[in-house]
Amino acid sequence: MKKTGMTLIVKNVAKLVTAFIAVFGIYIALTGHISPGGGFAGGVILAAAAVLMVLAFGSGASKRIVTEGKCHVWDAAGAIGFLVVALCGYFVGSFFFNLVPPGNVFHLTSAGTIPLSNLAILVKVGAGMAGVFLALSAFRRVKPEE
Amino acid sequence: VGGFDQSTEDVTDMELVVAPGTIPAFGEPVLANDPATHEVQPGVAKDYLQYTAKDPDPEQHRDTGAGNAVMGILLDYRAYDTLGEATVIFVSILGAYALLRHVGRKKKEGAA
Repeated sequence: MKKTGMTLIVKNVAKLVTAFIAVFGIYIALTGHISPGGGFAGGVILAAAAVLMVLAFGSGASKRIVTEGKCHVWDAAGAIGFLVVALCGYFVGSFFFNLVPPGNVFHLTSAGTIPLSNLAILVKVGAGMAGVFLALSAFRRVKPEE
Repeated sequence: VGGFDQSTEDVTDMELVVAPGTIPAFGEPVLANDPATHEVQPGVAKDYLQYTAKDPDPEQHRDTGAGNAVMGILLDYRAYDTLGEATVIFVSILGAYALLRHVGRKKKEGAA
């Protein structure tokens, strides 16, 4: 197999760090209603983890985790999920009605549908940013055949 | 948040503020503090900040329960705007995919 990606040092550091970056992005999004952050910021951090992966290992070796098709699917799924959260409120009262009763402030389940919206935005933005990075970098390497 | 109740209350508040004879001067925002008394006038922004992180009180206000007031406004009071933002990002990413992929472009070159 042809050697792809960067040197051994970069690969090992990326292996160590990528999971923490991804978890941090998810954390930022899930606690968006308690502390500064939110779905957009967390999604960008999650996409940064995918970008680090692709940069360190090359687009060929990282295809097991980050692929173009997966990015498309999750991007659309996040958009649909956000819309579903909005429509759930629509069927109860008004559009974006917060149908889950708010609990104690500063608890993880305190803000009704806001964490669900944040989760959908996290998936959407993360997959979208990673997919755009793949489109800008990895798609170029594909030689046109036929 | 029960958008309907909230909005009707806001409308009545606004009508009180913009009653005849008390129309604020041009360049004086309705939601800002009163320059004479330095008191916060009743308005949308005050309600948002007051009721976002308040303990739930189902009798009066169904608030967001979010400790982060920014997220409470962004994803509850003004969630429709955020949906538009997400749509903008979605469409721009779709445009990037459509421009950067090879398949469609090559077919067109082959046809031409």
